[in-house]
Amino acid sequence: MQAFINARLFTVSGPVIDQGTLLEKDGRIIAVGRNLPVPETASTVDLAGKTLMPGLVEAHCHLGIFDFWQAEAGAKTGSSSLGEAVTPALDYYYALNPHSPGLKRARQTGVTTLLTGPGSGKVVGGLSVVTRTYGTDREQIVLRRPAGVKMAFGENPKHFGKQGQMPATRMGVAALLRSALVAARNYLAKQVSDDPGKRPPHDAELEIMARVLKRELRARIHAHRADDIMSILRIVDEFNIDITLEHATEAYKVAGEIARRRIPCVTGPSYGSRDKVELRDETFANPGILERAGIQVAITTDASIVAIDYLRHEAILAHREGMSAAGALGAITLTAAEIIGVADRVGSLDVGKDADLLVLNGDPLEFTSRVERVYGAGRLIYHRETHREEWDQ
Amino acid sequence: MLALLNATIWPAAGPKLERGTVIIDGRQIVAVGHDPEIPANALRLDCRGRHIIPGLIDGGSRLGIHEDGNGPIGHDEDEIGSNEAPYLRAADAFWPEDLAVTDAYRAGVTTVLVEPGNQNTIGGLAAMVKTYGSHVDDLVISHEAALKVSLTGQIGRSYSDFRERPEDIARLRARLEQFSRSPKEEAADTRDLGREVWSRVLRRELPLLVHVYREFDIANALQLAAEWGLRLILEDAPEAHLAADILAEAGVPVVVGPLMVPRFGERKWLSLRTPAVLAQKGVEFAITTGHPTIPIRYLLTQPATAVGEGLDEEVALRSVTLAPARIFGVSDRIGSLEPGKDADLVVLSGPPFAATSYVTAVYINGACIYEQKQSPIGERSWGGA
Repeated sequence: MQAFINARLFTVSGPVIDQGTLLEKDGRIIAVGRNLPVPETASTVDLAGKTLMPGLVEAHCHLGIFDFWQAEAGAKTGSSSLGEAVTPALDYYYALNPHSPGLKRARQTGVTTLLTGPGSGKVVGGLSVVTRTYGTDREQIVLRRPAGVKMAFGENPKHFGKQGQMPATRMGVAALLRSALVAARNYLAKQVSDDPGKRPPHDAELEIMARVLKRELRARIHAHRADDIMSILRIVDEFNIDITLEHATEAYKVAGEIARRRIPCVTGPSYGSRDKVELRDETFANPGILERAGIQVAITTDASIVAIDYLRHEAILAHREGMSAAGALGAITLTAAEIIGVADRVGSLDVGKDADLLVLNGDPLEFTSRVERVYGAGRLIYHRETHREEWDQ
Repeated sequence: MLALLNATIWPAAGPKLERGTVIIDGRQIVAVGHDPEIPANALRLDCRGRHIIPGLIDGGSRLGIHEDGNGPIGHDEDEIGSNEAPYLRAADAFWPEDLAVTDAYRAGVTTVLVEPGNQNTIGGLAAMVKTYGSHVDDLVISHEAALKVSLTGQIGRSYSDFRERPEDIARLRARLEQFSRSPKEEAADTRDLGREVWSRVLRRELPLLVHVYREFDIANALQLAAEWGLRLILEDAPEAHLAADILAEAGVPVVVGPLMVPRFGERKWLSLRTPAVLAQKGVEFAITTGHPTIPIRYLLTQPATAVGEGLDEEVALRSVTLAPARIFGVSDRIGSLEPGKDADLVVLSGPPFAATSYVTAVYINGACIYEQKQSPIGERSWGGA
């Protein structure tokens, strides 16, 4: 048992507690508050002058799978009966490497949970996974699998056109998704046919799309422009699927439409260049506008588009352009955990949750605050004073 | 004439002044101090609670030549296929209407180095450019701030497609050899643009701006510069902290950055502690975004983060004001709040590195070109259920 005492506790789920105490046992948080009695058996960690908050949660990245490369690279291969650009059954769990430098960097910079998965090179790319960033056993570190089906609208999937395949246009992108959903609906209808001879053979791709139709699996749909978002919303209305908007760069232009359908947005990465035409109207004001419209908002680095180190910096930049401090902090902790479906385990300092803890030397929303320690399930996994960079060894 | 009164002033050329005054006349600063005499005809602006800093300078960008939001058609920084073109001039590609130019001055960035990219061994001439004015020539302070070259063998967009480093070194050595022996005066019918540039480099009229990654790239550049007596500036330099001693000894300045980017490949060993190490060793340095790698509007985020890693605040501010102005030879005009300098300054709602500070006004050449009257910062309470 450990007692973290005298810290400024940012619980995220409740008010900030000055001079607070957090008790950890067997990797879980067992008490949080002010003036808590500390059991004699507990080893105490005095965090006077420090901030203690939940480990950060990255709701959209590619670490552990494609650590440092363009996300699209990994999602261009494979094909299925639904087409070259529609491969729902590719499970990126099988590409997750617990020993990857990307996960290591994440835990050293305070990110203890992340959703990782396929890129945006296909209309339907495959299955994502939510993992801890610490631990070496893949079975142990994964918190949720599958954690949604990655899909993509806009510029990225159109590259198939260059190889003479569909999609070459935004029309083609929407048509492929519609067709896949219709195929899955037909598949489900045939499964309940009275004539066993008409029941379809097992189809791995359609099984996944059927789970999307049944709202058992979330579609996580990459989109930048407002017109792409509206195309997605038409499909949502038509098929009643459960989705998130990933990047959601121009979501602020259609915030009312998104809010009305209660669709969460994972915004960003905006600490990066606007090279692409569809990023032209990108702004860090987006998350704040969405927040005020009542939308659930997470903030992402899309690591390693932006380095995972700067997830907290992106939250600061969103706050500087209008998002509330509480909303910005939630966007990289509890709200992010909710959107990726692991809020029962991580994202806030609440009794029963994993003791994934981040110690900073100041306010979480200051650029000048730095990561001092990181704990994963109560175990110290990074300590600034003993950590040596590779060049420093 | 305009007097900005009662602000906390960060002159960059000296220590911070509490409750100070800056007086602007026309395009220039005429006084900075605690209690300068304020001429009767001066308009007085009370800046109580505000902080005033020099206009920010990014010493290493592709602003305006790698356009935002226009896709590949707007990428004008690398003259691919012409690996050796010293006479290319970045100012010829600078587009003042790039979205990011507006972003820049709204964020208080009033001057930038605009340079060719890293892909050619000999990339061309970098320019110092202000971010607000009527047309390109109104903006350019220096068409020939430095000759940009690369020692990193970089080519193409992919990290698997490199030239070998010795090839870059050999090419540079060949040119230095060739032109160090060429005549000082050109005959009327043998003018050569490339030779003109190299001659100026060899005469120390034009600094050589060298893109480096690794510690040994730095050593290579220092060796070349020492052999030919060149004025040298290093840029990017993610391993500058490892070469701080030799940089200090050689008295060579470094424009470090982008720093807040993923650590892999040639940048595997970059560190946010680099600026503090360079400061401690006495190396002159600026911090750059490498825009568009990090968007220019976030210029202050890197020095602010470096402050968290031990860098002194005033040194951090100098790294994006006076230091780049000195490094590129324009500190007679910009970079600090001193009488006689261009009135390029930024009024902030609070200290420059606080997350809750925002730009309230930007002046370029004495004109207020941007004002923000309402705070853009979100609700500050931490809420909680």
